[in-house]
Amino acid sequence: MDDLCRLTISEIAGLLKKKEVKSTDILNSYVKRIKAEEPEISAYLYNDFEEAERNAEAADKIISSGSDYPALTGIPLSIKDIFLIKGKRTTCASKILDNFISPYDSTVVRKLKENNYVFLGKTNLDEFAMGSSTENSAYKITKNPYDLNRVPGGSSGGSAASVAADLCAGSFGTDTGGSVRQPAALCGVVGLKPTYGLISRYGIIAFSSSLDQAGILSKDVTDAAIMLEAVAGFDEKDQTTRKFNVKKYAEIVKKADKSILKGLNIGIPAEFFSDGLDPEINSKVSEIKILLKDLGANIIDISLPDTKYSVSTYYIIATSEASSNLERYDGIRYGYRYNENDGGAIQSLDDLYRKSREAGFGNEVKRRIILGTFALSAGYYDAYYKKASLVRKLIIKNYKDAFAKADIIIGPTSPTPAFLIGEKTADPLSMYLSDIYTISVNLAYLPGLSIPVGAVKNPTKTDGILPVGLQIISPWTTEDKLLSVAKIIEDEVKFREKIKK
Amino acid sequence: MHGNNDSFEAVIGLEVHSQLLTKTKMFCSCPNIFGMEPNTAVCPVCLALPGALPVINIEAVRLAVKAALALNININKKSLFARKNYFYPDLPKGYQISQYLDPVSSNGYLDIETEDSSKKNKINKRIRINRLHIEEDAGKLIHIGNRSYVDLNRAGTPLVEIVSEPDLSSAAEASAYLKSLREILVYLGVSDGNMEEGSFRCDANVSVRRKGDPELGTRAEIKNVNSFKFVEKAIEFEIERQIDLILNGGKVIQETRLYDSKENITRSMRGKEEAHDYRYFEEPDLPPLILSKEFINDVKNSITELPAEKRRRYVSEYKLTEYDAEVLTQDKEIADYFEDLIKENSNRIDIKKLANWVINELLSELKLKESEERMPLSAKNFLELITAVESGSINRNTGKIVLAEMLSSGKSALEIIKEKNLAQVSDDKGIEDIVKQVVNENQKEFADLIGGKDKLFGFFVGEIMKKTKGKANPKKANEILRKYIEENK
Amino acid sequence: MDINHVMKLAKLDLNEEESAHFASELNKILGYIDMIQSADVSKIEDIIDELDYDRLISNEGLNERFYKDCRIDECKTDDTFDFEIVKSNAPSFEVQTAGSDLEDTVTESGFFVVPQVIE
Ligand SMILES: [Mg+2]
Ligand SMILES: [Zn+2]
Repeated sequence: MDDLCRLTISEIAGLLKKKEVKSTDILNSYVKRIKAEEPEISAYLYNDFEEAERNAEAADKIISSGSDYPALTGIPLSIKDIFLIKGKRTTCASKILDNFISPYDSTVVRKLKENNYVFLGKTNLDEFAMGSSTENSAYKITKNPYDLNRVPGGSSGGSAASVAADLCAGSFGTDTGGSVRQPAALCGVVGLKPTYGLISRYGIIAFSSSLDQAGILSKDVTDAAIMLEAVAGFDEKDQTTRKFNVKKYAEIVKKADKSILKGLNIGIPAEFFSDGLDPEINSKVSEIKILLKDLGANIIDISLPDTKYSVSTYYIIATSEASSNLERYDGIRYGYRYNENDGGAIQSLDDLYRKSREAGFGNEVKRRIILGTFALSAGYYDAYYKKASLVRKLIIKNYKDAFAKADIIIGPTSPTPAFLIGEKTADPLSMYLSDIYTISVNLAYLPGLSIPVGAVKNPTKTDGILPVGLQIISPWTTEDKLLSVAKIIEDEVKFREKIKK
Repeated sequence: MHGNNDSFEAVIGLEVHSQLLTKTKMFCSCPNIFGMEPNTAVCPVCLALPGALPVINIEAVRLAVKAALALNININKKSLFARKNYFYPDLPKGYQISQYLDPVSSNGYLDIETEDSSKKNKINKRIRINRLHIEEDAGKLIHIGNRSYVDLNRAGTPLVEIVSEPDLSSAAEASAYLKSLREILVYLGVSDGNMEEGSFRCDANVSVRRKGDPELGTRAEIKNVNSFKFVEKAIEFEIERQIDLILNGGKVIQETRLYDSKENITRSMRGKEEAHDYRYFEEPDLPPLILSKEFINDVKNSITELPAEKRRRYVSEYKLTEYDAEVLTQDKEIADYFEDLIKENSNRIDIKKLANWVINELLSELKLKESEERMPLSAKNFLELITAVESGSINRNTGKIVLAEMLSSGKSALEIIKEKNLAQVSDDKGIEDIVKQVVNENQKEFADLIGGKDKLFGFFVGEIMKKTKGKANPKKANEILRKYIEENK
Repeated sequence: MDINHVMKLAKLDLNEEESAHFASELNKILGYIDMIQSADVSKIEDIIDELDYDRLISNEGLNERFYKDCRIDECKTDDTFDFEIVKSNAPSFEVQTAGSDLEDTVTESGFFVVPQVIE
């Protein structure tokens, strides 16, 4: 039964329903695999097998006592260490929250508990979700399961690696500028970032409030739909969620049929195929274009002319909001407080703040706090924050115009496959540019999904391969369409069947 | 005041913060109550735990709009919440959510009554209001020794900030404005107006300039003033300080000053000022506040008569004096009570008399008792008492005693009158019997009275009252005694 | 960028060498970011409301939305919230036992303590 951990959620759920296996059996398979593989991958910040055991036993009771139970009952999942789970440590991969125990549940976790999920552990991330490689964690560096010398992407790198290496059945991450889709692409799994406001942000540690959105990392599109359905919807604790009509995504995806591609207008933005794009990735995306055309879709050229501003706009808005969101880490109510044993006496309140924050935050976080504070400061607000807010509208306008012509947009998720650990750490700007295709989706509040569509040769590892992700972007609140198209591509590409790690 | 002061004029603007009478806080469902144990009215949101998010309290918005409408302030259909960023231990998020950028209402006015320059005539003056906006309060700090203790019960409670234009030109005007503003907010049930507990607070921006000078002088902001008396004193002191400074060749600097009520001076807060750069930006956790016409109309319809209008109506409709109208409308509860009396006044007692009963008897009795409960007597019960006195079934003095008894025991007037056998003896037969009895007992004096010693009349009345323990209707007793004298002459 | 001023606002405290390093990195990033200055936003000024998140995702009138999404004024507690954990997370919390006569309703409230706030 060792292969149980390789199954998808829908496959596991099928076995559980038929009572062919128990949730505890599934869990045992994961525990075994985690014990064997985790030391190499470092996807998790911690595992909690005791909790998992309790959850699995509870789920088994529910399953045995009836057939009408929620979709994630008995499914072992991992959670990015940015979601609060009551009574569990939540660090956001930062020293400043080193000893922080969550006093309440995030809405996503509350819903997962109501779904009788099995909690396997908290996954690694870039500190406060700031990064694209998971190298900015204060605790460890997560490795790409395809090549341990390479990054898994980020900031949900731990989540992506845990799914790719079969260390969980699925994982919840967050996506502020690509932090679910980019690591999904680099690790060869599905990554979904829904429309802003579809999933509650309550209890998710904020990086950039107007861009953050919970996201899903899964083994296939069907699983993404199941996981989305479990956690989506209006939350009275988050006023940026809306009373959307949450659809039956799992059922819709199940019924997705190639015929929907007939006459579907698929837009290809010219700006996503410019200089920085790896030629091999370019050709993988082109293969999909041809495939879709063969299935009856209209491939149309579109333009998102202001894409060139997206990285700049993103870094101003995200860092400005972050500089404010991170003011609560002041060493007073929780988190790290500088104490005199750490050297030097505290002279004043100002001293307490500055020394606690200085020692608690890592370099990338400080860099962004400084940038954001500057962008909002007197004399610079108009040129930076205000201007960026207007350019954001320009980018939204680009998409609005594009969706007047195209039903859906496709392009690469990341300009390159997984890069080497340390390759970009010395140059923050080059790291920022690795999110160039994903960032504008967050700026425009849109749903986006990355799906593995193939692999390229790993230049530094004999016989090694590196996965390539295709990004699909659809109009606001059309996750049903997004998932359906993704499912059809998945069925054609058969990435999971073809690629053996 | 110094000799040269007359060549200067003061320019004053007030910033008032008033807590809103909601059940819960501005952005979370914690209770908005004063006086709980420290850090017990708190939740993830107002503790600013990681991941917590604000959600707008619609009732706070309603109250703010209500206040704005009453103050003739334009309601902005779209307003925004913004973050004001600064670090302080009573501000757990590191920012205050306020409406700095686009307030819920702007451009209004409040008419106040003030004196003309001769200080002899009352005139009306219109004070423009720049804006009224919604924001959240900070927590409380207690400083003991070299440690500070943070209590976040108040953190996140809803406030309105009301900013006047610098249209006030004296401490007296500032005080009149403040009183009028407070009166309206309390009347509307928007605020409890309690300055001592800090639920109604005021900062004053004060500057002076030579009369006729079109330029404004440099202003100082006075904080920490917690009573009407102190507002006046603080502003007076500050005006004088600035004039003295200028006359002595000095310059007023823009700064925040604290009022010290013990010494009656304002003091510079220098040092705390450094580099304030609040980095305001739109609160990304909240949508814009969009108010529909229906919402605004609903609020408009809920606004009851304001004190100034009430006063005018009491004079014109009830024919009360200005003074009586003033006393009765000072407090909405008293005015409501008075109007309840009128409504329930089925015996058609003169309204003027009702007013006197409230002002002269009830309010003074309540003051004497320092009653916790504001209006412990139902209008129906009070009317019962008033009717008993006005119809003559008990006399006025007995009425006062009954009122005191009603307030302390909670019993009804009739109950007390019956229990203590206080009803006046008004029937002719009863009084006749007593007159006869008294004459019998004082036959010599009666003979003298008939013989022309008129002074003895008073003696007999006194004896009759004594016998009846004061219950005889004095008018009746007089009448019957006179008749009896005539008959026996 | 006056990095020392910005660090003061942000309550960060880098030594001279670090701040010089940060300054040079940030200047490079700003050099890139400055490209947005050339973006022409004049054309969107008239349609800025149409591009609001709410308009984009909702076909409903905004008025109705406002009523639905605000909070009604009712005291409620987050069922999952535990103040005991808040206390144990605090770097310095001073308990004051306050309570009623009934033993089982005694609550331990208290204060977060900050050293030397008054300068
Ligand atoms: Mg204010
Ligand atoms: Zn609260």
